[in-house]
Amino acid sequence: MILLYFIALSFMIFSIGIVAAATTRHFLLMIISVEIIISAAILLSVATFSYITPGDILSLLFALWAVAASEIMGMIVIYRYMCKSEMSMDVRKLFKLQDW
Amino acid sequence: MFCASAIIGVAAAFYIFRTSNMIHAMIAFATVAVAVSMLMLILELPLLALLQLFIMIGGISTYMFVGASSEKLSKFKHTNFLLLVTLAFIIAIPLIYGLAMGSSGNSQNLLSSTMLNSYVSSDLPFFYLIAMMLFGVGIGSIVIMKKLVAGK
Repeated sequence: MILLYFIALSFMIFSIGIVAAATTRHFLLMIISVEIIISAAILLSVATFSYITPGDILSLLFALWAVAASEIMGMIVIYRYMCKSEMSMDVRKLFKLQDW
Repeated sequence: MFCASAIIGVAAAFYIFRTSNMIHAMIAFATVAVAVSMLMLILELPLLALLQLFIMIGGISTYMFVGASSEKLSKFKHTNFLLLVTLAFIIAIPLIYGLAMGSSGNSQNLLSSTMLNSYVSSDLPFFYLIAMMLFGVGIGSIVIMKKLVAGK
């Protein structure tokens, strides 16, 4: 029964990330919502592996952490460049990228 | 303990999109990572909890704090919070009912041990390859941005 709680919680966090990525207009918050989705995936993988199969979870977790780290590395660099160029963080105004 | 961690995690995840200050949003994301780490401790996996703290908070969140310090406040209404909460529950409930309830029965579903073993164990080298490629993307993006800034 407790596995169900972990699965439900990970799906709840996953759905928050999905909906936030779809509804928010702030550039950085869209990136953070992807990080939330990855956190939910990490929680679900750890819960299922610990309860269902005692396999090697570490390699899968390193892949997930690498996805999260590399995504945030690239996006923060772009974010700092956008701030330095005084661009708006509103994604509806990103058509101005064509002026780069 | 599970309820406390779950409430902290979900509340922090919602707070990220409620606040207008990016530093507060980063702190809330770090709180979500701490809640996931606490849940790993509940599952009696102390090494993974420690790795989660080191990587997600010590590495990723720290980098996000430094990066987000460029902007103090989001001056526009970036998220419709009521829509976010409503849609999150609308999506979460069928997911939880469909996949999670099915795992408690005897039917073969995506979360059963045989399916997980067959999917994951055969693709482990590809996970490493994907991780290395993504790290390369991240480092390459930093190099390209530095050249763009230098060029301007």
